[in-house]
Amino acid sequence: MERKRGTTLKKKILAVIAIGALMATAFVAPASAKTKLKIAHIPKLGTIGYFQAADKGVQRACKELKATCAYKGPTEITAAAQVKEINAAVQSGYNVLIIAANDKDALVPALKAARKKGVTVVTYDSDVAKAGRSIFVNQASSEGIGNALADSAADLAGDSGEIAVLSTTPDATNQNVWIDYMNKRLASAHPNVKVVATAYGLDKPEESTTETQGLIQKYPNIKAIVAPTSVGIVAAAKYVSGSSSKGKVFVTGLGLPNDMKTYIKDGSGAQASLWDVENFGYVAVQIANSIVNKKQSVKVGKKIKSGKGDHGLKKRVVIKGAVGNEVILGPATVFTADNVDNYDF
Amino acid sequence: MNSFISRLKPRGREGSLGIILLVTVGITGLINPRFLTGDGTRDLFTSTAVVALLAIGMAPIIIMRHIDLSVASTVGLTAWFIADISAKNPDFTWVQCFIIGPLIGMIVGVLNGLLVAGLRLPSLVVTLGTLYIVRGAVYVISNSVDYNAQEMPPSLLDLGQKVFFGVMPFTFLLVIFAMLITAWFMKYRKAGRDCYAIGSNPHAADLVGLKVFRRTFLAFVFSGAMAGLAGVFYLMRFAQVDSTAFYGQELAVVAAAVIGGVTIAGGSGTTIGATIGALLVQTIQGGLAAIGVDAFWKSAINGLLLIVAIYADRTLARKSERTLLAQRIKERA
Repeated sequence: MERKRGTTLKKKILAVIAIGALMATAFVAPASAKTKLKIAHIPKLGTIGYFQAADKGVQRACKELKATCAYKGPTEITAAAQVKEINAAVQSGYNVLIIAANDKDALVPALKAARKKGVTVVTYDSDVAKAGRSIFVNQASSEGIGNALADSAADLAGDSGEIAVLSTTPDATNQNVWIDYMNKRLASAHPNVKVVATAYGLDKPEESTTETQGLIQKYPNIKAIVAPTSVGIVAAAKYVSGSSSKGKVFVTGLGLPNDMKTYIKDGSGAQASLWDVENFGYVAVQIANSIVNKKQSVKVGKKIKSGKGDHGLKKRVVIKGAVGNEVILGPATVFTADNVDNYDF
Repeated sequence: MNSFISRLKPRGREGSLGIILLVTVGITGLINPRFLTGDGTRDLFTSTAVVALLAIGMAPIIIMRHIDLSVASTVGLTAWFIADISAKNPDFTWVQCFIIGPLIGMIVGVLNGLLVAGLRLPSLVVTLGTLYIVRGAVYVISNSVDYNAQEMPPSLLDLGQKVFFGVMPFTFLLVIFAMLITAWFMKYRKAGRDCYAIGSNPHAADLVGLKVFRRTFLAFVFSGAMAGLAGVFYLMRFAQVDSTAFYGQELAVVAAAVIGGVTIAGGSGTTIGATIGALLVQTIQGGLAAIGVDAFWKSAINGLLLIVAIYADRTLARKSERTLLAQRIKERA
């Protein structure tokens, strides 16, 4: 009997010590001067060039911070695959997650559990509900995109004359907002550039090509076509580069540099705009570091450290976005024949 | 004089279709003169090539009272697969693409053929099934990866830009070649004539000992091969591909064939008609875009055209039945 009671008591004491130790690591460790960051970068899908480019930025930031980094790309573009990666990363002791979410809500329970264990979560590109992350790094403001489109189009048109828009569908929210900002910018900064028509290519190569042909046939004087869609811009550029309009009609819009490289460099004078994806990864990691090691507040209105390599910015302002607190990566980068080879995504 | 006029009169469905096509092109040209320029004509041919090739592949099947709804998915599969394999093998040229494309399409064709001709399952259901299976396969193997001009063989894309006499693209030249060969085959070879017999009366065809299995099976394999080649044409034209390439376009192919006089009830029609049908649909689509009509009206007008075509088909069929009947009564008398 005695012996038995003794062992139970010993066990209890051991348990208390163990719990105490656990609590110490959970609460005391972050208070110590610097936590060594162990960062898991979980993109929507591992094989996409866009996210591999973002990871280059993650690696760059990790080198600066002397942190450990791993690219945990899911093999399918689902929330379930990301939940698996999140759980695995937390179990192997990663303390920062950089995530581009496949679903706004489905990841939240796993992320909440991770945050309870002291893991810092920063989303970029695609956000989750507020409870799942500390802060979101957004691509670019709609106004920034609209301005980039307007400036690029005006540049191609020689700051005067007719241009046309090739969009996706008449009720596509993003495109309509960007086109609105583009029109505002044209009116204020390039008053001699006139938008004569907007066609809709339904984000399909077939329709986008037919509509591009139609625009050029109906408006023989247009100097530029603005396509704020990655499918439309390629279809329009492909058509123009193989027609007798090459060198007379120029294409610009939102597109990936790798998709557009052929047409930007083949003498058809196309341009494309997009946010700098590499910087995306860099800023996300730097902000995570500020949160963990500098006890940085991420409330709306605060300035947050984003690293020396952030286009010489160092700090960004937290604003109120659609879901909650976010910082904006923008402005959009314009890809031309001079710089397109510097980008690989 | 009378015989001169009668000689000018179009022969059969293809002749009248050809005239309708010319009138449509003329009207569009009047409204928008740029439509008739070298660029406009070349665009018309380039944008018709894929659908026309598929309609030529589909015509024998519809003539045999079957249908192949899997063609658009097959185009997507071949286009993606060829882009993938040539991205991984930078020394690939257009030659490999032109061999691999039809081969992949033929695999789908063999599957369709075995199910329809071998198990005697209804082609509508079988090819609806393979439509989903093949598209599902594209989603799975593509893993959301897409390809662009950079990763495709330059010789293939150059060939896609090649134009003869300023208006005739290489792809459409191949379409004309395929059209003439199949038209000759369907008209002058026994196997071709058998297709019409099978479509007119499948039961009777069986009873008189026509090789129904072999003809049906090979028709599906041929359609698959054409769809595979159309996948190569798709890349040559758009130089971009993802897993949704050519999604939902199968009915546009059926519409082109039917508008071109290939009777959906089987037993009549030609590949020449199917090609003209595809050209007519594309002329109207291109014309509407050049006038600036929005997307909703474009598809509504397409639908209207289809119904008018079927109505014309019925009226013509009834008329020729009456003429034949009158002829027979006259002969008896």
